Amino acid sequence: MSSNPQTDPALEALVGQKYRHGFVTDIESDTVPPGLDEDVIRLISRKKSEPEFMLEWRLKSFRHWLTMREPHWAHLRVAPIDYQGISYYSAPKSKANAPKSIEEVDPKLLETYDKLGIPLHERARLAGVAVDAVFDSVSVATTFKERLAKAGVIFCSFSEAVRNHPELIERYLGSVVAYTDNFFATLNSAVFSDGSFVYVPKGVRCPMELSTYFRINAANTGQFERTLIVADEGSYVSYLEGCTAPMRDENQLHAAVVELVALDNAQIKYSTVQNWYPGDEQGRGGIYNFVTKRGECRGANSKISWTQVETGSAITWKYPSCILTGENSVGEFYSVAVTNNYQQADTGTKMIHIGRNTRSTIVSKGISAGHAQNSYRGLVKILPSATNARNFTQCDSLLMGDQCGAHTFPYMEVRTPTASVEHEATTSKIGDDQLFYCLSRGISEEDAVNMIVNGFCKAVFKELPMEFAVEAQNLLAVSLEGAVG
Amino acid sequence: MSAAAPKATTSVDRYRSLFDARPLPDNALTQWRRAAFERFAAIGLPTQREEDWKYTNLRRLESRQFTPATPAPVATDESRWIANAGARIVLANGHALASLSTVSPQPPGVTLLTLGQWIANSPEQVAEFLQKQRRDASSFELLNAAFLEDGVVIDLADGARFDQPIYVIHQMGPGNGMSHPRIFVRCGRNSACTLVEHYIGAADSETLTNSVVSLDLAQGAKVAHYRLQQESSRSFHIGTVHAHLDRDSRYACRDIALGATLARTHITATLAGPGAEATLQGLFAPSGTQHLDTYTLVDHAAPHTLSNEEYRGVADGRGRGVYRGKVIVRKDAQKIDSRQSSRNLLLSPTAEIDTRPELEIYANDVKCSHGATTGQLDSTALFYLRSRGLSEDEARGLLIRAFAESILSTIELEPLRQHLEQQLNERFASSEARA
Repeated sequence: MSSNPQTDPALEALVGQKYRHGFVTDIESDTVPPGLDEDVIRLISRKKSEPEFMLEWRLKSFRHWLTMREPHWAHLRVAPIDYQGISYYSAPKSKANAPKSIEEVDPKLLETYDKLGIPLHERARLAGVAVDAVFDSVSVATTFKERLAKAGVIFCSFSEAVRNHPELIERYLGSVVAYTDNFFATLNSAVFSDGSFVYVPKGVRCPMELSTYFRINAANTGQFERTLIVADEGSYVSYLEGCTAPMRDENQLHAAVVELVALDNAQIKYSTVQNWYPGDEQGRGGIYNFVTKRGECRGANSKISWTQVETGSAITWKYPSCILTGENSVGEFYSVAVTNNYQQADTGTKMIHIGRNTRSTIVSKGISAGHAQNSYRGLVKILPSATNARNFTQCDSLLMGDQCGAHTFPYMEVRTPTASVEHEATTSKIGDDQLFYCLSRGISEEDAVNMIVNGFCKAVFKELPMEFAVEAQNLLAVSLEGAVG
Repeated sequence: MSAAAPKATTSVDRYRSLFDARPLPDNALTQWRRAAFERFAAIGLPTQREEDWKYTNLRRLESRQFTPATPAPVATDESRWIANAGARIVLANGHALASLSTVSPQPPGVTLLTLGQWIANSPEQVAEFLQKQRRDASSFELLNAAFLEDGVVIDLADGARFDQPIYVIHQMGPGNGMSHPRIFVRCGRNSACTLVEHYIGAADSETLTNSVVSLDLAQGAKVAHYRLQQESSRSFHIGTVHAHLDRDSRYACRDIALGATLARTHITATLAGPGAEATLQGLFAPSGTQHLDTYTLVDHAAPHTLSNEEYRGVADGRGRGVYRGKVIVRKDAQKIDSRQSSRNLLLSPTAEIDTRPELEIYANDVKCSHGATTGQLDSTALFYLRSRGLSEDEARGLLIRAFAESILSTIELEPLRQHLEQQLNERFASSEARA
């Protein structure tokens, strides 16, 4: 700040804006004491009345996890995490009889959603969005079940799916992200609390956008979500995920796993707006977000598209990936990652080309402000079997302020001569000439920066579903207010 | 991990017995060598678990037994030398051969001597000089320090110019010797020189060359550095280059890798003063089962510095080309302009190219870009040439040569360029017959 003496006090005030969604709802949580051993896993499994194969799988994962070490290759500085200091299960207490409709939901929960502007009972219907809200670890409400059921789409909480559709879970769980995959995914496999499950049957186009709002509430409970989406032959589904979290002093661990499976001619569109608590302006607190997201285009002509807008979390470690197994399958990754203050992000994607004529597109926009560090890390791997594979990668970084960092670490491994792989990256700040142009036309600096940044991210925003695109633009403006370099 | 650890100790043990077997006088230089060896022994050879070595497996190198190359004259292959390339210094198996060197009387302000001479004359002075050098960091630099015997020292006073290029021939083989030559280049203010390094191996030799070149450019100095690596097809080549650039100095490196079964070049250019400019250009062409790895690091440590990098790879047969180019812009190093490009051609279904252009940026007023492409020959261009009556082989050969040309055309030394063009013509003509 000292290097920029003419900083407007009004801008300072905006930068210093407190996290808007920072509050805690006081609900008695049914929380397991901190610590992790096989008994805790058995307890989680029992509490969720899971079948035997799930417990086996959890224990197998846990035993493997004990042999693994935390990864440290990312361009991140992570304070040591005490895995025994985390409580691995927390469920809202008033769950004696699980609510079957919105009216049965604890009014205090609904109040929380209201404060956040999540329109569970009204706007959801108006917007035609089915919301499977995850409050801490147990799903408390699900809407639009009937309409989806009529189309044959299964959209429910993970626990429910384990109870009602064990054959699907057994078949697909861990088939994309194996329980041995990586430290955080393995931990998740052992202790995951809940999440969402989607199955779209053959030839069905899901009649509405599906969405889940993840929230973290009770103190010291890491969240371990597990999402599994299966799109059967010829089906289509668009899934939206968005998160906000209450303010916390201590770092909270979030290690989610998302698995997508697209069979022949199926399409999955997965969009995320991530706005976990990023910590205060001194870098205290904030969520640790270590997420494993991976989709497999198992069938021919299938397509998986990831779109993400990452503005929150103290630390983001996230690489939504596509395994392009099926012939002619397509993988896409569109990302905007914004870091401010002391946030750190190491995010990107992996595109593994296995099938013939597979194509992938990567568009990544990183914005770094304050003292933040923002890295793009991406792998494009073309195996010998992937003849005529194509990849195009564009990753641009925008630097705002002279204390931040922007980094690009692309990996390209090409093993077939008929493949064509292109990568392009640029790093720069907002052009003085661009700013001057706007200012000379009477546009305030704040608006000009907003406009330029939104233009910079446009290629990604246009991939978002309508409602999210608006939300994302607002989020970006709030995250970067006053961060003019 | 558990599998790699014992292996590393055995190769370290092997080097230790070689180290202990050497008759070394008891002086400061020996102490310096021993300290370097102990540090090498502590870290061992790098493994693929290290990010820097992710794509290069050293098992092939570790399993080999090398003997310290003797100063005995080797079968030099003068027909492979570049004629009229400049003042010639021949390092045979890492040892300077005065009889074959053609260094004419030097202009004032220029000191050119072999490291061996210097060590023989004043080992204390050499030890003192080495102590002041940048501390060696990597395993191979430490190994080089431990087994250091000979090399070249070039010292230019302020304003001095070496009118001829300095042509250093690293001639290896036959047999399984290892050599650890070191070249020091110190350029005073506004001085200029051209250094050509030519690595040649005798056919069928299985040698290890582990060279370290350090260049120190004072304000306004200019160095053109050429590296031409043509080791024998069963040999190993590890090359480390460190260039330190002060204000307004210029360093241009052209790095051509054609030989060796496994080669790794690590070039670091540190831009330490405003106005400094580094240009790194290179070509690597693995074929057969060759593994050619290049790692460049451009460190923008001062504001107003410029770097430009272009590397091209052509992989054929079961060859594997690895390129990693890293650009770091330090905090407060504003007004940086950095460009980097990596373009690669894959000619065979069993060849592989791994490329990683990286940017690590901690300042905001910068213009940094990089691009990377990997693909095959353009089919429309091929068709165009075929339709004009060229055979498939001719057309392919022409297109590959054109691809390499953008690196070759930057070579200002006429004899070197002609030599390279001839080498590449042969190389790509023969590769086409196989493909």
